[in-house]
Amino acid sequence: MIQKKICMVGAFAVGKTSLVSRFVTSVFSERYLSTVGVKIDKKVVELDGAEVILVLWDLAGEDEFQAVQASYIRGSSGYLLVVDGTRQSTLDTAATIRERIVEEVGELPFVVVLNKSDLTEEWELGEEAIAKLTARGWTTVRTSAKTGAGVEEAFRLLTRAILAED
Amino acid sequence: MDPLPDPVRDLLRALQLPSDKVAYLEVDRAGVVAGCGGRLAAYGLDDAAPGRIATEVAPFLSGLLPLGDEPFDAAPIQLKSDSWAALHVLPGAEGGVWVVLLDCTDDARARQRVQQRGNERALARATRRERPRGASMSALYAHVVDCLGIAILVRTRDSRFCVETVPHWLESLLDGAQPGIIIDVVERFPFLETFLPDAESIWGDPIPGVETSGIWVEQLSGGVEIPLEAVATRSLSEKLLLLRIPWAEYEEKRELVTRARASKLEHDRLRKEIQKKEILLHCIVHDLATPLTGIKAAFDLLAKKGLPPEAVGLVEIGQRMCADQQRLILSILDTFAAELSSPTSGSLDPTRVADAVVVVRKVVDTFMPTATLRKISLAIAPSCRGGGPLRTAIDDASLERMLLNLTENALRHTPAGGAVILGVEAAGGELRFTVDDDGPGIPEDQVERLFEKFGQGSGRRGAIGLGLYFCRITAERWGGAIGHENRPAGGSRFWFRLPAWRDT
Repeated sequence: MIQKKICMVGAFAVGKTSLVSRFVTSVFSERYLSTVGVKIDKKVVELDGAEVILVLWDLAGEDEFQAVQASYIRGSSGYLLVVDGTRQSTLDTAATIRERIVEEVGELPFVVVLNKSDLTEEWELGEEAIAKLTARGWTTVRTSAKTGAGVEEAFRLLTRAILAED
Repeated sequence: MDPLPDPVRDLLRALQLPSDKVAYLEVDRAGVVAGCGGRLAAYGLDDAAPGRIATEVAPFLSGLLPLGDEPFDAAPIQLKSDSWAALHVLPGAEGGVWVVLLDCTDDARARQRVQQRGNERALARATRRERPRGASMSALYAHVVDCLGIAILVRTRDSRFCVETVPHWLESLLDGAQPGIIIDVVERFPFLETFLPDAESIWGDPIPGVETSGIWVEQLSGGVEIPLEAVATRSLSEKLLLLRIPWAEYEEKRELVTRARASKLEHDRLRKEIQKKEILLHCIVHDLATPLTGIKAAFDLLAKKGLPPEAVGLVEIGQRMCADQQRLILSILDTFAAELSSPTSGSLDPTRVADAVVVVRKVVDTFMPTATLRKISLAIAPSCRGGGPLRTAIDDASLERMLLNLTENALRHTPAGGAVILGVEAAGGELRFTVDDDGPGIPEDQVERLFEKFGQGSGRRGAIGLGLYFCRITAERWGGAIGHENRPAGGSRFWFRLPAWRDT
């Protein structure tokens, strides 16, 4: 069976761990608990009749207390760049992290995940900002780890992009 | 004891030694004892006598004779079980030599004791190093390793790892594995994939070192998460990978980071709440301005209608109130706009870059009628008259608004006959603006809150406390600062500094 390493990267508290938890165990917790270091999970997905083992590396979020170690991306087939749609600043952090990844390992397939789509009242990302991402050729998916909306799609889109590279 | 021969006596004198423990032999060129004396028995030279072959009487002389022209000192030698002698060989007459023996038993014994202690320490160290190989120390190490919960993995020739010790947590992670099991660590712990290249450099380095992986989290069978950390090191030829659970560091770091981030999230949430309310306030203020325009137009039209004298005064009051109200609304809206915008010098349109001198002159011109009416001298400081342009990294409209605020403030508090002076100077990559007035100054207890929103003292006439706040946030947003000082001669000096503009 094919095995692919996927990294979850983004600013702190954007919902990386929650997305993995929703994707792997269908569980969501409102409680925020910082990830320290790296947490690794696995999930087998079926795509176009083929089974792929996704090894999910959930990296600690980026902020002034912890920086994403781009070296952890080594050996990855792709990554999910997670943004909190209710915090505009997390989009800038995501862009910075992506630059570091490109510096460290070059271009890899990635999907921009605009998480917390259930919080419509607090949503900050305008259509214009999202259109700019799309214009750069970046794939974006709105997700909610809380409701599960878009989560499966995000991982599948990335897996498909990774397999297309092979 | 017979009188000593001259050469022996000279030697003793030179060495400042007593003559009571000396023995000597005079040996001729043929190696035969020509003479002897002193305490020969003390050195086991009882058989020494003229005519004897020297090396037979004193075997230690073998190889030393014949001597050249230079005297010779040998290391102390033990001639009997309880005595040591320092050996001195001196040239004698006609190719012969004097062999002089001096007692050095005390010194030799002291050196022996020091040497003995050194040897014992070295032996103890060597013994300690040897111990792990012993069965009892292996048991001790196993116990310690078990207590610490460290898993020791030794790299095999095929780049897999032999698990030497299996703490209970590893047993759970490896489904009941026993010591001696060979595993592919990357398959079991994918995290180590990125660490092993770093570990390889440590294992390949001739100087022993240590490399730590950083923390990752694994899940035990019951769903319990445990943090792990790998340490790569080398012991002789063994390439070791140690796995441990850094509970304390992990918990502490997670708690601290979680708390700090939660605080930051809460701070951001509150900031957004405040911003929402300010937007609401802005909308209200904006809506107030619309009917005001109509009211003002009505007063202006009335003023042109040829009103009776008593009505003219009332219309003028209405016009003045409208103007005050408009200024107030403009001030609030300016402040709001400054709070929301976050300009950078990089985004500044070069055609909008303010020339400080031009803006200062414009502000003085604007207020000149008011100043004249109030009999206040409004002027530009001599230091900025007639100089070239002083460009600063701020747009001209913002700079003008700041100076308008400060100048209006200064004129409001300066009594008739006083002066208000505007100045600007370049210094150290910055421009420093000053507005001096002849007002009463600011009480010390009010200075701290002066630049806060609604922070002006109750004694500040006609102000609602947004002008100085606007100036502060504008200065700070453009990379500058603002301040106040009471002038020694009386009155206030408000100053602000902004970065000078640099063409890129």
